Amino acid sequence: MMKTIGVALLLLMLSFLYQEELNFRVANKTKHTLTHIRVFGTNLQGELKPNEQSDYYQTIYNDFTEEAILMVYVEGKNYGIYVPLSQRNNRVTYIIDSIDTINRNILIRMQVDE
Amino acid sequence: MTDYEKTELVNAFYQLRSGADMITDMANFHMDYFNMDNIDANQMDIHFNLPNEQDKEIFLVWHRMLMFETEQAMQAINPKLSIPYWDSSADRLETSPLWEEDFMGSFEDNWSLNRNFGHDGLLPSPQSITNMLQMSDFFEFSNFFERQLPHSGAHRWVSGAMVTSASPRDPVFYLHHTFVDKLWHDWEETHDASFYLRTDMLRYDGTYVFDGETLPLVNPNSIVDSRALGVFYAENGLATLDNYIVSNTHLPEELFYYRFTIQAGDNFIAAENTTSHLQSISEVILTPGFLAESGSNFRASIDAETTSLLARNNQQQYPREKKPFDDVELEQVWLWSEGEMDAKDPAVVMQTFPNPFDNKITITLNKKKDCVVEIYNLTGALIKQEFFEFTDIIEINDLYGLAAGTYVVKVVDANGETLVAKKVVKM
Ligand SMILES: [Cu+2]
Repeated sequence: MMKTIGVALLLLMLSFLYQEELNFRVANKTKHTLTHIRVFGTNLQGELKPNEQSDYYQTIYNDFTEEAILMVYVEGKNYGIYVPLSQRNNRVTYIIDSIDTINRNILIRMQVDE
Repeated sequence: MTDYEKTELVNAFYQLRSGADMITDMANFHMDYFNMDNIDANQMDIHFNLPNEQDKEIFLVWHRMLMFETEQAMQAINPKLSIPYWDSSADRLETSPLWEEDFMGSFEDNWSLNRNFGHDGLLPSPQSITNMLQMSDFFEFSNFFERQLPHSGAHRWVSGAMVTSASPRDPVFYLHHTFVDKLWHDWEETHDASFYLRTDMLRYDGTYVFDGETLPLVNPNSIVDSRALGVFYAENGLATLDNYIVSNTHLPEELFYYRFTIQAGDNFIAAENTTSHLQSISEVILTPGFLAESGSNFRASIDAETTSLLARNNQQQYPREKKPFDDVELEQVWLWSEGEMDAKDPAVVMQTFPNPFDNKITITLNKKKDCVVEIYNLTGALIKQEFFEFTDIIEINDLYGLAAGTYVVKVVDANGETLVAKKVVKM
């Protein structure tokens, strides 16, 4: 009995660890140059010009300390949006499709890369 | 909620969005100070400061003040209004009356909200809320609350504007954050352990001006008990008012208006030289510990206006009416203009009388009864209603002065039954 529980616990812990390792990058499909990009509490290096994408970043995601939020700074305004989480340990690209700087709207989507 | 409350609340949101536009001001503020850690980690912001930036933490208390600011603006429009809460652990369906056209659905197209229910994630389970309320450390509780489904679930599930840092653009933001605030109140009632390291916060720092008025300076620690703002959340059809001293700090008359039973006692004190009013459309009960001091101006009353049939038709805890036209056929269009018409119904006769001076609709019932005439626009929004007491002839003049267009005239009796529903075209 104890052994069964032990195995179940181990599997449970492994499944959490499995989900927590994230590989993501950000792609800029907007017409703007994007700076100060931050995802899962990690500040990305440099800026993204239109049609550029970042390198992949790897992070151990813990949802008590890193927020599943993308922040990005465009033309004097800071935009924030919750990002979808991949259900599996995939590499994903968060594609910023558009940023409407007049109405302050941002549209993103997640692409599973593998 | 009663039809009256829904209509008034929807109208109030539209009113706040016009003129000085408080809704946009709040959405922009929330967006500008949402989280600054991508630009300057030392900058004050509203979200995601725990667990490592405790000195900056203001999540629950800041949103409490934002709800209070909104509710005060609404009460300036109609003192009976308060922001209801959306219990997203119980009211989980996109078919809920919450989202219907006469309520939160009204804003989807008008405010370009692009909601996409269930698109990104789940709503919290009742069990997850029960578990969360048992956490004992305030910062751990607040951190869990903000990041996990009890708070983030509704933002993600509704999606559109709600999933962005401009979420106060969607009126359901306010119904969600009153629920968040109620849960914080429930937690504080049990644990009595909320505290902040800060003594100031953004927007409520005594310098922010909106529409010509400087917002007050608020120390977060002064409002960790929601009574400090005169706020009491009702639950299961009961509003319990306790441990409170009327002070008129915020309003010259403190009105506690609920559609539920109000029970005031256990150190609820209407103090000398204060003015307060408990008003329910159900009942008001004063229990031991209630005190109206000599020299106080205190009233308790039943709101007769909405205790009429409008209220009796809507006694469920949640707004669960059907859509206005679910139960009636509307194939028959009446042109309400010169020289039209007649129709026969076994129970009801509805006629229009064209007259160069006095256009009117006459509805003849087969016997005298209480009824309500409701006028809807074609999106289903209730525009006008009038109560008729024990009558068999109803006359509507000039369609209440409404602009030319197509409307639905509906007559409902005291049992909630639709007696007649007809499309009318006012030329
Ligand atoms: Cu917020």
